[in-house]
Amino acid sequence: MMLTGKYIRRFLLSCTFLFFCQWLAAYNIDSLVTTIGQVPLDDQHKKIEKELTRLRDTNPAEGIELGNYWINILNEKQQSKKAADIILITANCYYRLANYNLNLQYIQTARNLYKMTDDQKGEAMCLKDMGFTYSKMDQNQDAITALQSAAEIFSRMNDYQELAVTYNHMGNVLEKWKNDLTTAEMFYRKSIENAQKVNDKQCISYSLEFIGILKSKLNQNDSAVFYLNQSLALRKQLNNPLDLAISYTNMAEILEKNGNYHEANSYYSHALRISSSIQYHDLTNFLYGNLSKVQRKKGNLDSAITYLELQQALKDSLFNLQKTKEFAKIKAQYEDQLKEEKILTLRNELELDEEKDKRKTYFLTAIIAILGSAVLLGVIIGIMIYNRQQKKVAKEKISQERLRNKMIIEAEEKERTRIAKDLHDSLGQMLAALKMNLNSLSNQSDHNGQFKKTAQILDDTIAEMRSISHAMMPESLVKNGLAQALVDISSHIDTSQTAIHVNVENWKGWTTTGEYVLYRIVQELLNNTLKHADAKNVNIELNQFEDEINLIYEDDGTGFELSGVKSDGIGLQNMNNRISSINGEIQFDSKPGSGTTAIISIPLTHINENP
Amino acid sequence: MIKIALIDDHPIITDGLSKVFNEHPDFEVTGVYNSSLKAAEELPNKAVDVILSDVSMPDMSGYELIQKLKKGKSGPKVIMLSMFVEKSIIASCYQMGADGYTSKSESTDKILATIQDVLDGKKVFPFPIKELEASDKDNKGGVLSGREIEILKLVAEGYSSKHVADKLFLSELTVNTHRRNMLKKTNQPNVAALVNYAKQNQWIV
Repeated sequence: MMLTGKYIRRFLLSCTFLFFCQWLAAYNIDSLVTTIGQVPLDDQHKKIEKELTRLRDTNPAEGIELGNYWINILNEKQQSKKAADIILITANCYYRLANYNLNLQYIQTARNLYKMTDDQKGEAMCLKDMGFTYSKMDQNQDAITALQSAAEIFSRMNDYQELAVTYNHMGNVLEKWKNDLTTAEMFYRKSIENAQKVNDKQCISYSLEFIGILKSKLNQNDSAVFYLNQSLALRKQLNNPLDLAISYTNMAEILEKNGNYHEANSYYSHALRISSSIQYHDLTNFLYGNLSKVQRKKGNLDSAITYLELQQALKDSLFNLQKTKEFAKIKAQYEDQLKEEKILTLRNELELDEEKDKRKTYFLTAIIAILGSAVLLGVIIGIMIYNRQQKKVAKEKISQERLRNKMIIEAEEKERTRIAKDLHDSLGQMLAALKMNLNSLSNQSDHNGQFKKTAQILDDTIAEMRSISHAMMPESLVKNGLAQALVDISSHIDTSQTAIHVNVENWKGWTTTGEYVLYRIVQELLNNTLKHADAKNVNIELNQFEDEINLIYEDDGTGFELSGVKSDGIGLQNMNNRISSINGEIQFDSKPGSGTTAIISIPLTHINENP
Repeated sequence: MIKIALIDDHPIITDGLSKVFNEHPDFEVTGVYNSSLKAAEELPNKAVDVILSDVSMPDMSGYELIQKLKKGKSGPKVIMLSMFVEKSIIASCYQMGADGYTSKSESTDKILATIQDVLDGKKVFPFPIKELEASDKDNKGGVLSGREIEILKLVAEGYSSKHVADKLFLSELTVNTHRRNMLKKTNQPNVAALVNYAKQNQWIV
């Protein structure tokens, strides 16, 4: 068997379970969190980012837990940039666990955040990772598109290092997808060119290796050896055992192909020594197989058999390790399960029954009964474990969705605040100055009423600017809070057709996100009323109690048939997303001819006080 | 001569205003500030009749500035000049002690007229003073809204939630939410107590 480029890359890309010991070792987030204690956020963040990067390579499942925990905290502290960084690494953890859908979702979230903070490098990193995942999912067209976009940004920013890595990926995809070796080689060479600018030897060693494998595919074996040797020389300098082992393996394969079994044997042995020492079982297993083949070809049948035996032993031990791990997992789940009330009663009844029947029933019947119950118990436990896992997965999915929504909403509000401020501060002041200057001309004679017309256009422009800025982010919401902003909500609306009554009860203020969400919903409801309802009155009641916040919105307009509303319409979906991000719900009440009522309620629990 | 000082973080605005007042025979511009902090430091020691100030400024907000500049009745008059037209912002200015408020987009004549009225001792705001005073007292609690009283009247007459809902073209959910809110607002344990309480307060008869 030839170790093809594809196979090698599988090694490169999936060294998930590199260290089984660490995989098995219990990892505890709480301990990390207590040790970081009251350290400033920046220091904590650096520490967690480092730990997360380590977990990504060694124990991605724990990485996901740590990542989500920290994303939540960063989110509360409104650290969009830092959160995006962590989301991206967490996405990598999902990749390592082959959960490509969540991986893509996380990358997309990070990308949105980078976009909103105008972080181009971040966006390009996301695109690069997306390309990686798409290629893994065999969506090669998407992969190339994403990588190309990433390369464009990196090249614009003169980020040679990342550009070099991206070119390597592009080469890999083209090789795998279209077997387009010429273009692939061109990309590898472009990668080397860029990596040299920043002296990134590791990246160059990869490019050289890829070219070597490519040459061997073209049966240009001397050329292949040349490139692989260059790559090997660099790796010897860098002294990264994993890369070295792969280099030796590649070299050995070419030599084996050329019939140079003696040297091939020596390189395989080098590789084997390293892969055993770093417990890279996947590679060790492969090397035993190839060593056995080489020995057979050299005529050393004894050695060939020894290697096969070693391979079998490794497989057995790996199998046992895997099994032990699975058993431990199942046992833990089973023990958890036993705590469930149902099982306990079931087991008690079982024991009780056994006691009673002991004297009366025959031995055989007892055994059959116990076996039957055991099977039943097994089935029930199985179903419960399955249900529990399903529930856990569903719950996790909902909370992740909610978190994503919240982050997007917060970033959006931040952006709106910035735009409103820009509009008001620069454009608004210039318009005001323009108006003053225009006023000073008013004494001069007006040709054909042009002056008046111009002044009117300017007044309309100022009114329009105010109305846009207000819709973007009302100053009163930022400065004075929700209650005052609701009082002001009619200030840019023609109230001659529709009167707006606002009644705020006992409002003590809430979190910024919570207040913004409520304001946006009222804004959306009001837009609908003004556009479609032909209402004379709108009543808005906002109440805050100890255990709940509720907002009742009523209009006396035309109303609508509830069943005729598409629940997935953009407006409604938007409102639902916003409301669910603060753990509340919205309900509508409307009939044709009798107005529309919307009731928003948010139960205040200890979690919700700080959404 | 009326001595006037101008405060705005945008030079483009203070330039425009300076031009207007310098050309006017009755005014003398005695200070131009593009930093509210600097204005707060220097203005109290200067003889000024009227101060024209922006509301939204980066180093110190207009609200805070009013409090620093207004010292009793004898001090200078303070008029806020802003792009905002929102009632709550204007109300805040009034409550902080400003003598007037006018929009930057008003005509020069209107701005001059506002200054004259303020110097004559008037409070000049684009909303009735009563509304500006009241706007902070909406939060006092314990008072039922019009819709709630409407519902409570029917409840007091013995209608069930469903009947109330039918009569008012609402759903039961809406009626129940209002009922729940009324109990919480008035701190009453049940509807019977609530009806009693409302009668005592003469919200319903």
